[in-house]
Amino acid sequence: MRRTFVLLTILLIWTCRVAGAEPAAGSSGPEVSGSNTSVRPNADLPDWYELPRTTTPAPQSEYHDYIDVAVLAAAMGLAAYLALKKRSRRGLFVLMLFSLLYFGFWRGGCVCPVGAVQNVTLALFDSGYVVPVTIIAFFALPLVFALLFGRVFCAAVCPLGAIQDVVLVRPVKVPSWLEHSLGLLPYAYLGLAVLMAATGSAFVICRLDPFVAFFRLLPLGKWGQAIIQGGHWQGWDLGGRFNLLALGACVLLICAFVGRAYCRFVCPYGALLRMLSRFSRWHVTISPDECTQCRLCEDACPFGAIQKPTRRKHVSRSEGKGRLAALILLLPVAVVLGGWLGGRISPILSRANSTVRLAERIRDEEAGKVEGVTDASEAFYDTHRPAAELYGQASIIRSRFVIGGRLVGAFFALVVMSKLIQLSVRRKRTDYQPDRAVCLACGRCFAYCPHEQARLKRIRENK
Amino acid sequence: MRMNVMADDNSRNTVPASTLYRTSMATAVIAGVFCALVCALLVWNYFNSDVADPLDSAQFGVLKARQKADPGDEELKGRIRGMDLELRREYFRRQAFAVRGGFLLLAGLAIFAIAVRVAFASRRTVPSPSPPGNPERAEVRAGIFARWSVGAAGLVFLVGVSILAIISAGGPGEGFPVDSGRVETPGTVVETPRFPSDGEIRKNWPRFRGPGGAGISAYTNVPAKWNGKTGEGVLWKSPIPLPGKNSPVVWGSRIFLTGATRKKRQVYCFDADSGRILWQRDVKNVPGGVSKPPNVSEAETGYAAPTAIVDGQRVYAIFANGDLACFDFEGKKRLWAINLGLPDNMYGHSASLAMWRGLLIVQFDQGDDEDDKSELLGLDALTGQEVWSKERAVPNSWPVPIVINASGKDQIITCANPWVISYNPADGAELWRAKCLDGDVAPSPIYAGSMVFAVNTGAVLAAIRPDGAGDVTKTHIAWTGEDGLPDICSPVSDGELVWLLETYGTMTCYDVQTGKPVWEHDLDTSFNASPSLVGERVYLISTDGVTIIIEAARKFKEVARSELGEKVFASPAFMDGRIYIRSEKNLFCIGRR
Repeated sequence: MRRTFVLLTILLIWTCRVAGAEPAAGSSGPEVSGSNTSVRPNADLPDWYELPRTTTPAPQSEYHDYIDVAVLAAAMGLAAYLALKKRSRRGLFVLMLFSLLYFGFWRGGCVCPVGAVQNVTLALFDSGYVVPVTIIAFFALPLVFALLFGRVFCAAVCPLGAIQDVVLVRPVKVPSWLEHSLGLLPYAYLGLAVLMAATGSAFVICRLDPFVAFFRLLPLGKWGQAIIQGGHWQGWDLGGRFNLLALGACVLLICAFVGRAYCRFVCPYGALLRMLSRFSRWHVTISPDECTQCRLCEDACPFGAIQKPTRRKHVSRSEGKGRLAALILLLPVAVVLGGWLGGRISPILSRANSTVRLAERIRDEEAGKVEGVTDASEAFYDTHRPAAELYGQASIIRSRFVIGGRLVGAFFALVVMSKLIQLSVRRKRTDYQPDRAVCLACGRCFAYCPHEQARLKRIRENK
Repeated sequence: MRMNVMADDNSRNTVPASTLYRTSMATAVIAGVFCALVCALLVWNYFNSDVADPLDSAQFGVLKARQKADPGDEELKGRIRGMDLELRREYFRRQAFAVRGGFLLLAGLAIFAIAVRVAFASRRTVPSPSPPGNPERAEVRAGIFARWSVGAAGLVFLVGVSILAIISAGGPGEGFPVDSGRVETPGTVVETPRFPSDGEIRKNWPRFRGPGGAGISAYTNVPAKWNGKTGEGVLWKSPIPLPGKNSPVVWGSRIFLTGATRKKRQVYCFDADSGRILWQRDVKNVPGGVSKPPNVSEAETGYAAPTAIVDGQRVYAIFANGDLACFDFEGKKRLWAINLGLPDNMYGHSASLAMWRGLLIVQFDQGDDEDDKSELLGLDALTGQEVWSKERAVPNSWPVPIVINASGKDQIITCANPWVISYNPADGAELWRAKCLDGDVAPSPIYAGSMVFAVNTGAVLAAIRPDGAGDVTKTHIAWTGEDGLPDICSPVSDGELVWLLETYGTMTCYDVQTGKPVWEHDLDTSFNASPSLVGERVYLISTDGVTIIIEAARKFKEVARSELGEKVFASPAFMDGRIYIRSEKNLFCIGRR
């Protein structure tokens, strides 16, 4: 204990020294901003001051994007092979680490299929927005793979999933009832993100990505690019990321105990994958052979994706039918109600749009409801554009939010009611099997199955 | 079936974990505390920093205010500079601190995660499921709990959204005031019926050949020398997705073009500073449209010969198949679209659009003069609804109408075979007409020196006084010229001289007042683009992409030649210090950086 304390003290002192150290002379300290400096005397500045030369970074080559798509496709193909054919948890883990390094730290977490949802949405609703074919590929490939092999993208390719998986140290079982209700959140998030993207207001998934700040803390890609281009790395870019870092740290802390909390209860792309994976042509199985119902795998999945065999033997034919009928009848009512409410909150939602916010501000300033001006309103006045023009634009955007809000509200009501109906339908299961929608194909459960142990020749199988 | 677990092989069996577990846990604790310390330092660094933006410092603000009051105080200036440097140093020092802290945090977290994983892995045991109890009951209970849980979540959503809806009803959803005093409510689209002033139009290049269709640049600071092959003097060059012979129109920092093929029609908006396409919109599913493509001469006109027009808030575009569409400036919404019918036009419809206040003017001449198909349309620019239409007993023609103010009246001037006709834009009533043209009329009229100039090959150059009524052929044609008559290019004039440019390169200069030819010069190249007047110079762009600049004077004098390196059929647009030229495949911006 004493040794631990001494160690901690040394560590603290060292931390303070390293973190607080002044940049070394001649380093690319931002005061002189980068390496490309030119001495240009200025009457107002001292002689020793070197004025920074404006540098324009070269645009990223397109081939990078195509390489990314190729890596994505290859990684998912490999993940499918490792999960379904090879049944190798270790292989999947190594692939996951690679994906974390490549898509996360090397490419800085962008482009990713999760965020690509927004690009594709915007392109669908705004013909002026041209979405690159590589982004379409990023959006579509994991969905196609989910239809074929289940959520192999989540298993070992998604950097967001990987970073959560890496920190998962002590999984706590989330009660099944809570799992069901929390599982609704991704659909709400998806609806909101699509609405924001469709109205051109914001890419909320990217803005609230809790892990991207971590990926960019260690910008391997930027270093690599600088080395490849024979230049110098132009310095850190941490501006405005502290909040995201704090958010990411909190999420990771939760993920240390709740397996892949973001994937399960937040990820909007996961909601799409979940829907498609349900119908996957091939899917991982817990046992490579017939399930013997030994129950060894019962608690193997930290993500609550293992479904137990149904035990009820004597169920009356009429049981639950009334409830099911009532829910089915209630479905259209709930959808209409959800849609109506969604439309009613559109004015609040529309404030996410900068044009609407600016129009409201200008309106209030003109009406004397607020004092002073903001940077945005001042900039607007400088353009000498008539306020009526801005109001017209804002009105158009608001009307889109009304329609979008109704659709999102109806969609979420549909999801809730479908979930209730699904929970009211009796299903018979004879074996332990993964829930196709929830299962991330991570392969953790393989090793728990005695048949798998026998397949790997770790145990002898006596018949 | 029975399984024999091989204890020596299976890592899942209980492992004597004491040493490994204790070491891992100790490491994890140290790493965890370390992470907490780094976190605390980072938080302290973040919140203790009152120089998030160095220029926001209160003390700095005070000094600057003092300096404003006493600008001559050198000592104060020195103090401000010193403080500015210090604040910036502090700001970047803290940034560096945060970056290093971030690194340490990341490393600490990695060690923590690895240590904890190892610790727990070292204690992993073979799972031994507890006795199942009463599985049937558990199953029923799980189902009930799940349903209630989801139902409760749905209810929470319902209540939450309802509260938001109530807040929203009295909150920011309040409407915006509009010009008419009406207040819109969410869900209704309010158009702002605002059209540009003459001053705004003069600053821009809103239609074919710019303000008034005169081909005269309001700016004289445009470049005279460039080279499209080497990139010299070229600010940017952007490919245009679909072909078209229409010319660029510019409003502020946006350039609009159209492009079309047999089956596809598009409107483009380019960023004037970068050349990037800000938006592009398909013109499709137009009410009344037919899928049959029009008969056009692709070499002569193509499917997108008419130039679009802008009014500062909307862009209007017409195509060879009769599709006419209006988009908002952001390209986010097609405000309206109509199809005028498949034009019966031997080369393809080419007449660009004109505007007068909120009226969109379409010269839609087609067929023979006896077919009664030709008409002049006045459409409401906000809705596309017809305000008036006037039948024209003329065959298909290709000139662009102009709107002038002469003898105290606004007039629309149109050219076709054989009539130059003036209309009142308010109601479409005919004001006067003069019979002076012949053949397939393509050059557009201009208004200069108080006269309307109409011209076509095989006819004459007619200078018409626009103050008559009825048939003014015998009374108001001041003079006619028969030399150098163009068949495509429109004339240009500075009010003193008028220049004609024939397709095969002969340029002829007339005196506006006397109508006498002043000079004629063979430029030995061919032209489709109409000449433009920039200050005291005339810019001519040949089909080979060579721009020839001559003096706008009584003697021919070539000033400069510049090559674009690509074929050009469209007329250029001139803005402040820049020329926008549409080549066969690209849009060029000529200007100085």
